[in-house]
Amino acid sequence: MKSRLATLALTTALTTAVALPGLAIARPVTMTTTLTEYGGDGAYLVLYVTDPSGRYVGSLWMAGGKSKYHEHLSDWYAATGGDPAQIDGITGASVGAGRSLEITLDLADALFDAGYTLHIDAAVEDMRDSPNEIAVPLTAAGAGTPVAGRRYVASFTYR
Amino acid sequence: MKSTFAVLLATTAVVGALGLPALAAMRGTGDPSGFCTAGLCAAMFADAGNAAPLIRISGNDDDDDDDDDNTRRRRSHDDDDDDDDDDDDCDDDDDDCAGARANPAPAGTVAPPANGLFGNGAPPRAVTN
Repeated sequence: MKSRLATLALTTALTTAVALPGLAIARPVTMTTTLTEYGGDGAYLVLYVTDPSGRYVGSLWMAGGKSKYHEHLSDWYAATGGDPAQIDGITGASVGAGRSLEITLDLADALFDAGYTLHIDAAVEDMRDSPNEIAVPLTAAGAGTPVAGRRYVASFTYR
Repeated sequence: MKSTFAVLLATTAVVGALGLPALAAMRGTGDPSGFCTAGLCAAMFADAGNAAPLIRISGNDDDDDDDDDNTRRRRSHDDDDDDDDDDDDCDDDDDDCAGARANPAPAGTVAPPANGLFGNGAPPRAVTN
């Protein structure tokens, strides 16, 4: 009887050890992107993540729903071939000049302090494309620190 | 009086000699098939033993005019007749362009991609200010 209880306790402990991280590995993260007054149409933005070796891991958000314009988000497009499956369910409207886009995502904890980098590509019709407008390491210490973009993004913050 | 008839006869002959080939040519180009099939054409060239054969330079099956009864028009394209170019299959504002890549599913309509970045918590949401 005691051995059965011991076995039960052991398996429960193992199950808990394996399952709990799976339940607690994500947390809500809010990303705020504020655009400059660049004086053009709505900007297409894509937020995506690369691993420590610089390889594309996946996309977090696409602002701008028409696939035919996605090629102007050139780094993202080069990594994905413009595959819509990469952004199904995480696509919204483009963002006007001077406006802010606030996204709240349930993100894996494993992305932080592990060498992953968040990138933003930006493009505006009849204006210059801006691949890698933002490239910011995902770290706990970097949360809340605004980062300026190169052309269209006035500031980007995650927290 | 006789001279008047003579002049009339001569001018009729000249007009006929000049006009019939032109009329035959017009019928030839007006024919959708591009061939001169009327009896008039046959009469014009039947006795011209060494006349050059008619060569069909162009038919109307390659035309790009925007006539409404052109049955070659792609069914997936709208019927605007505003421009003449042949490469307007994917105009900038044409969202239902045939062959174009499908647009992604908007947020909230399907689950986020299983790329390992997302947890199982609340679905993504976005606000623009």
